[in-house]
Amino acid sequence: MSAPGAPRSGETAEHVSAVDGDSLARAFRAGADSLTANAGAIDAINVFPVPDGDTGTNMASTMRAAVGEVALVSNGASARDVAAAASRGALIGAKGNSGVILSQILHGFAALSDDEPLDADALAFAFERAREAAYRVVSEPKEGTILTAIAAAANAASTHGEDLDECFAAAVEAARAAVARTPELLPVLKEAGVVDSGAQGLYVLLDGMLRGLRRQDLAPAEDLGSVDSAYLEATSAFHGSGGSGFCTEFVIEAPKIDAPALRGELQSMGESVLVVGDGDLVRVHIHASEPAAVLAYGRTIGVVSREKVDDLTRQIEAAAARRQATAPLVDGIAVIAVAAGSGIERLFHSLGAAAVVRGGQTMNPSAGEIRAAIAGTSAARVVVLPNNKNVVMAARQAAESTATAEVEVIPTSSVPEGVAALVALNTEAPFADNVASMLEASHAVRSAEVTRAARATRINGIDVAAGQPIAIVDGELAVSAGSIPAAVRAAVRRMIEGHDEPLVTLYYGEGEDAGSAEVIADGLRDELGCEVETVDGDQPHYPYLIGAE
Amino acid sequence: VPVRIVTDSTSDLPREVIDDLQISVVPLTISFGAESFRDGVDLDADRFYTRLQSEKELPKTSQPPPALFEHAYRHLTSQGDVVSVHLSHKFSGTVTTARSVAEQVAPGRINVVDSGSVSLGLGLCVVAAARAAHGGASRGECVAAAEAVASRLHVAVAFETLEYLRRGGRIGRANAFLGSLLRLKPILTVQDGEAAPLTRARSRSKAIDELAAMCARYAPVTDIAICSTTTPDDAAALAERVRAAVPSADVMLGRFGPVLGVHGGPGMLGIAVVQGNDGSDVVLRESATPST
Repeated sequence: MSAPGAPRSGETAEHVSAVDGDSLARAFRAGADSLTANAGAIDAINVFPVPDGDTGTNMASTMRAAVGEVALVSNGASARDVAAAASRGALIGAKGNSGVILSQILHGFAALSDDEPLDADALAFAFERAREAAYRVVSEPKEGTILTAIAAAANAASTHGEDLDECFAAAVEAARAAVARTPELLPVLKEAGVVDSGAQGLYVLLDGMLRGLRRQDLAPAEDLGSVDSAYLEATSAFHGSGGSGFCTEFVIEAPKIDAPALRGELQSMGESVLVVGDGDLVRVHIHASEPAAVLAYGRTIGVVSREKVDDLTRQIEAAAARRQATAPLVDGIAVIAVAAGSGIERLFHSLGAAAVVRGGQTMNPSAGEIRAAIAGTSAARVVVLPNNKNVVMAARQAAESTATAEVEVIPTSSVPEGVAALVALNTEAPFADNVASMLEASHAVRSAEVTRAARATRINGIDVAAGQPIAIVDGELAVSAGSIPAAVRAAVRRMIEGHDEPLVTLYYGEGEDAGSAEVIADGLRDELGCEVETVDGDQPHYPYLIGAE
Repeated sequence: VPVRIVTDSTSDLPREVIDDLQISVVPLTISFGAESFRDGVDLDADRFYTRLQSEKELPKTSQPPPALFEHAYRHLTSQGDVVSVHLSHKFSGTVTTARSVAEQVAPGRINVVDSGSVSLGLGLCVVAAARAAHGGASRGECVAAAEAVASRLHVAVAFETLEYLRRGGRIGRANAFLGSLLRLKPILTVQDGEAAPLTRARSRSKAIDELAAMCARYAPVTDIAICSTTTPDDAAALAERVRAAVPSADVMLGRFGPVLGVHGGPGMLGIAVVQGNDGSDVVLRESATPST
C-alpha cells in the first residue's frame, strides 16, 4: 500500500490548515471517487459477514448518494451543512451492511459545531462521533472490521496536535495500519487470505478525502488480491457461511420512531440487523428468512419505501461464480468482458466469456482488477471487451502490464458491441483473425442508452429538462422524449435507418421488467417491422440499452 | 480402364456429377417406423423433408447392408480397380463395413478411404478421386487425391434450429457454445471426423455471411460445395455470391440428403471449401501408397 496522502512525484500538495464547506464537499467527492475506483478490488476480498462480494460496490454507491445530496447544497454553505447533507444522502441511499455502517459514520461525522472553519480539534471531535455512531449501529460489534478502522482513525485524530493537515493524515495512516491488522483480529479473514473489505473501504474513503482536501490526485486503485480459492471451496460446501435467507433493506418514515425498540423487535426476525437514523426516518437492514413478514412489520410502524430484497444464497453463488473463471470457449483463447448488471453478466457468461469483471459507466474497474481476471483465466491468449469507453484505458493498461499472456483489447464502447464481438468468436480461426473479426463485428452494431437526464441542458439542438427520458445513440444525445418507451422507440427508429433486415436487442434494466420490455418490443415489431429480442440486463442507471445490427 | 469410384449416399452429390464422373453410390437406409427406404433411390429429398417436419418420431438412419457393397464391388472389380470413399467412421459404421466386404470380395484391388468428413465435404473428396481416375490415375493416386482434399477441407454448416440435433442426442459440445439467453444461429464444422462448434450468428443473413466468409478465410480456394436441406434458393444465392467472389473456383451445388438432414432439420445450409496450396499436392501424390 502507498503511504496515505503521499504526494506523487511532480505533484504539489496543498497544506490543509482549515476546512470550510466547499473544501469539505470537495473532500467528500474525492472520497466517493476513491471508493468507486477501488470498489471492484474491495468486492473481490469481501468475506465477512457474508461473502457476497459487494462491499466495495455498496460503499461506493452509498458514498455517491452522499455526494449527490451534497451537490444540492449551495456553494459557500457551512461545513456543518455539507456534512449534514452527506449524512442525509447516505442514509437514504445506503446499500448493504457496509453501506449502512458507512452512513452512520457520516452521520456521526456531521455532528460539527457552527464554528467555521474547522480546525484539528473539530475534526477529532467529528471522528470520535463517527466512531461512536458506527459501534452503536452494530448489535454485536466485532473487531477486525470497519469498526476497528474508524476507531483507529478517531484515536489518532484525538491524540494529534493543532495542525489540521497532520491530524487528518494521522487518521488516514491509522486506518491503513488498522486494515493491515484485521486478519489478526478476525480469524475468518486469515483463513481467506484477505484483509477486511469494509475496513479497506473506509481507508480508501479517508485517503481520498485527504487527497481531495490537499487538491492532490487520487492514488491509483490497488489490487488487493482475491479470496483464497481453498477457502471459497470449503465455505461454499456448506452453503454460504452465515448467509441464508434474504438481505432485506427499507426505509421507514413516521414521526418519532423508537429505533432501539425497532431494532429489538427485528432481532427476533433475522440476523445482521441494522437500524439507523433518528427522528422521523430510519433505514433497516436485516438478513431474514421471511422478508415479507419483516416488511409487513415495518408498515405497522410507518410508511415503508425503498424496499430492496435480495436472495443471499443467490448473491453468494453469483459472487462465487464471478470469482471462478470458467474454461475458455475456444482452446487457448479466453474472453473477459466488463459489465454491470446481473443479467448482462449472465449473458456474457452464457456466450462463453471466461470471466466478467463488474464495472461500467459509473463504476470503472481498475486495471488491477482486469489484470487479475486475465491472470485468473490461465489462458495463453486473452481478449478483453471493455464495453464502455471509460474502461478502454484501464483494459489497455491491464493488457500492457500482463506478461504471462498475449492480450488484445477490442475497444467495445457498449454492451451491444461487446455481445456482437463475443458472438463472432470462431473456434477455427487463428487468434489474430479472431481479434480482427470480433472488432469488425463490434463495428457493425449501433448502440443506444436510454436514461433520464441528470440536469436540464441543450445539446445538438435538443432541449432536455432535468429528469426527462433521453436516448444517447452512438455516444451522442439524440433523443429527448416524454416517456421511457417513447425514448426507446425514437432511438430505435434512428438506429435502424439504412438497415435492410434490422435486428434490435432491448436490454432492460433499472426500473423496467420483462413485461414493459415486451410491450415496447411488440410496438417496434408492428410499427417498424424489425426483429426485436428482449434480454433481462438488470443494468443500473439505464432502463434500456439498445443494440441494432 | 479407369479406376472405378464408389461412395455412399451421404456424399450428397448432385445427380449430374454422379453421372458425369460415373460414380457408384451405395445408399444408406432411412426408416420411418417400420417403413424403410434406400436413401436417394426410393426417397428423394423433397419428400423426405416434408415427412420429417410432420412426423413425431425422428426417422432412423442405418448403414448400407453389406450385400449392397458386395454387389457393387463384385460388379466393378470385374471391370477394374476400385477406390471407395466414405463418411467418417465417427458418424457411421459404413466405412468399416465397406472395408471388411472389400477384403472378402477382392483383396488388394479395392482401396477404402475414410474421408473424415460427411456430405458435401465427403462429396468433394469423391469428386477429386473421380477426376483423378478419369485423368488416368492409378488406384494409389486416386486415394492420394481424395486424401489431399480431405486434409485441406474446411466445412461450415449453419443450423436454423438445434432441435433436431438435440432430439437425436448429437448436440454434444455445441450446446455449451450456444448461450440460451439470445436466439443464436449455430454454425458447426467437422473436426477430426466429428461435428464441432465453429461460431454463431444472431440472424440468418449474418449466418450466411459467415458461410460466404469461408472463401476468404481459406483463400486461395479451389473447390467449393454448397448444400441445403429445405432452402435451395438460399443455397443458389450463396453459390452465386461465392462464384462472384472466387471466379476461379469450381462450385458444386447440392442438397443435404436425409442422413444429415435428419440431424440438421429444415433450414440447414452448408459450405465446404478446399484450400488450394502451392505444390505440396504433388508431393502428396508422389508419397502416397495404396492402403486398404
